[in-house]
Amino acid sequence: MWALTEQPGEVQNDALRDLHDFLLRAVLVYLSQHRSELAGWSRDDVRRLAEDLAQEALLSIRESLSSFKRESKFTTWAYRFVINRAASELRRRHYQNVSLDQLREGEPALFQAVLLEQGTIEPERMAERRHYLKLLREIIERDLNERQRAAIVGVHMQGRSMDEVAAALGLNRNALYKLLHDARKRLKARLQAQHLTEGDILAAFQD
Amino acid sequence: MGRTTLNPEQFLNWLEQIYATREAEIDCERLQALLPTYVDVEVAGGDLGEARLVPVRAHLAQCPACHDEYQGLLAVARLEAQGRLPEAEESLAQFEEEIESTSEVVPVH
Repeated sequence: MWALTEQPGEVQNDALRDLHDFLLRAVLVYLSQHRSELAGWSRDDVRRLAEDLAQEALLSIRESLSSFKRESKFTTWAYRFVINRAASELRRRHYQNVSLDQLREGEPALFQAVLLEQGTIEPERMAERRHYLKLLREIIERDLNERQRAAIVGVHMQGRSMDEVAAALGLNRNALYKLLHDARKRLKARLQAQHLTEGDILAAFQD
Repeated sequence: MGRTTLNPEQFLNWLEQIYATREAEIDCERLQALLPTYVDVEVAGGDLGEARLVPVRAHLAQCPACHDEYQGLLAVARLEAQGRLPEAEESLAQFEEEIESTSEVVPVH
């Protein structure tokens, strides 16, 4: 790492070339973990994407060198840049615009599929399950504000990405995380106020 | 792409997520700053329970996007620590093998 900043021209170039190679190797490991998202891609397509990501990461790393605090290995710190870039790029390719209305539309369907495929469950068991789901639905409808509800529906229920739901709500990702956190805290507090533990509810749902 | 609602297993995972909520949690930006340290400690078999790192695990349990990046970084850091980080051409050759094996499926006319 020292060679990247404190040495003249040629040594610095060698260090950069080495780092580029490591970033390329690292991003290819990440991409191979996500090969199902690259179905239909040729070897050259993958190589081009990996090269672009490694190059972009290298630029970011150079700009951020002064923020490296030696709390981790330099390579781990550097790899994070390229993996973060790769993850963002894959998310970007899957991104779908979603509106606030679409999130609102998801509210009535909450938990509908939870009671399907129940097989032969005793009526009392079934009633207990319905009771808990009704309770959860009420807490969500009554104790969360509209934006908290939309965030929970979008991210937790509909499985949309944070980026998609953040855009629908006009937030950045960190602000959405905070909104979701507030919503979760509320839900947890309401459940605890009713003296309901996770174990209580799990017991009703396990066969 | 979104699903419309949760199946039973997803519902129970969601419930676990709610109950695992902590009073204070770090956001994604802070997580990114702490992730390299966390991964290094994990690869070295160190104590992930130290005060500074506890919020990382809590966030990862709540954030699929960050969890995905964590898994990527962990895999790379582990391979590097073992001296087994594949060369670029090795990874690319494996991609090619898989493309070829899937294209060997003969369409039925």
